Amino acid sequence: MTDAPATPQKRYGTAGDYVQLLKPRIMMLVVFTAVAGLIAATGVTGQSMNPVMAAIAVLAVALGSGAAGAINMWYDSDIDLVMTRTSTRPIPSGAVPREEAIAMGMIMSGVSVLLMWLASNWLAAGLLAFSIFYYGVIYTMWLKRSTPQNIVIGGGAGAFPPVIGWAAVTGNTPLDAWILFAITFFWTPPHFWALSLLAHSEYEKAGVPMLPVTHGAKATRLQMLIYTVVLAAVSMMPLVTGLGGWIYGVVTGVLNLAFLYFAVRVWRSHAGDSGAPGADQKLARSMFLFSILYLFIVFAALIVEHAAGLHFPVGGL
Amino acid sequence: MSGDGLKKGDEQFPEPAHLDDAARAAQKRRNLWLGLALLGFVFLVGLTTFVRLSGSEDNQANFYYNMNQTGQEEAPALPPGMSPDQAAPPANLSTEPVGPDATADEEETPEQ
Repeated sequence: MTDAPATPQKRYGTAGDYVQLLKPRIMMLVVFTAVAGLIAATGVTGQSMNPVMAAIAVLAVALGSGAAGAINMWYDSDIDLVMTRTSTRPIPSGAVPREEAIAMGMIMSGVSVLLMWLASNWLAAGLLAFSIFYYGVIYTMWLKRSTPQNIVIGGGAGAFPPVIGWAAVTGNTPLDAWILFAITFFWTPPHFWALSLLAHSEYEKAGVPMLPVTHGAKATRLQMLIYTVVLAAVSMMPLVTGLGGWIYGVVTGVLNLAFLYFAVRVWRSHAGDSGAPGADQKLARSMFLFSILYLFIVFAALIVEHAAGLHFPVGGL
Repeated sequence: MSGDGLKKGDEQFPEPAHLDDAARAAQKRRNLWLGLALLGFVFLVGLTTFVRLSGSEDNQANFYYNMNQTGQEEAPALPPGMSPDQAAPPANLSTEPVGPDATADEEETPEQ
């Protein structure tokens, strides 16, 4: 008796599949940085927001992030199927039909922007709408498949949440809000390239022009180092404007040293090269994981300073 | 229908989709979640409206009205060089409210 070829059993999407469609891990980071912007704005300007409205505004940011994630998964389902890392996502695995994903993304986009407008103001709602458009259209549909600078320019989409949080409270976006934007913006390339060094063969297979694919691992490692140096400088700007105090300064200073240490070691390693030693690959992975921790702690330091009354300015413009 | 060359009674309707148990269960789950999501959205819109309207009473939100703490419209800014004393009404002019209610009170008193 011969074994019949295994036919894949038809799978129906569970609630978990729909949650996966919203990219919950990215959503966590987005929500956290938005909350940091909201709290920092309250601390710096003295303006406050009704707690219920603040909670709804944060929920709107989460929904907007999820909507952008669903649109991204809808458009990228063809390349997700090719790459091992993403082949188990809800659309390529057959759990969620593509039409449902895009419908969900579009409806959630509208709902999130409307809720943000109702809970705060048109500026925050407009910024949220633009950030969804930036991620879903500018990054996903245009940049990702057309330029090796996709991550650099596309990083702007993920950098908006603290600005949105700030705008929700104050109705404007001063320099401090854009400094928070810049921190996330310059953090994105070393963070994502650390991952793409490990998965460049997958991106090559899918035809995505990531920097390690188009310019090689060595050029990517150098770019990672350059962006980490810029990030270290930018992350110290809150000390100059008075947005960050002593706690922020000390915490971010130590984190910058650690991030630079990783960046220099990765730059000197052969991570991403064909036949690179396992230790070098492990180093790139460690840098990727550390970068997530870095952003969380930097923004947590701001939250602690402004929410717990521990803000002792170093300088101030 | 008759315009398409079909006689009355010849209309062809598509067969309804026959879902198996698993598909039906999945559809039920999706419908439940959609219903809950809609309910949540309605609740949040209602909540934001409620909070804004409550805030407007305390002059916190100015959602529908631009009122001061006493519920009266803000007085316009004084012209340059005019002091509040100069802008005040003459002393012999009553500041009591004048209107149908005030007149009614005055008329009721002699009857009692």
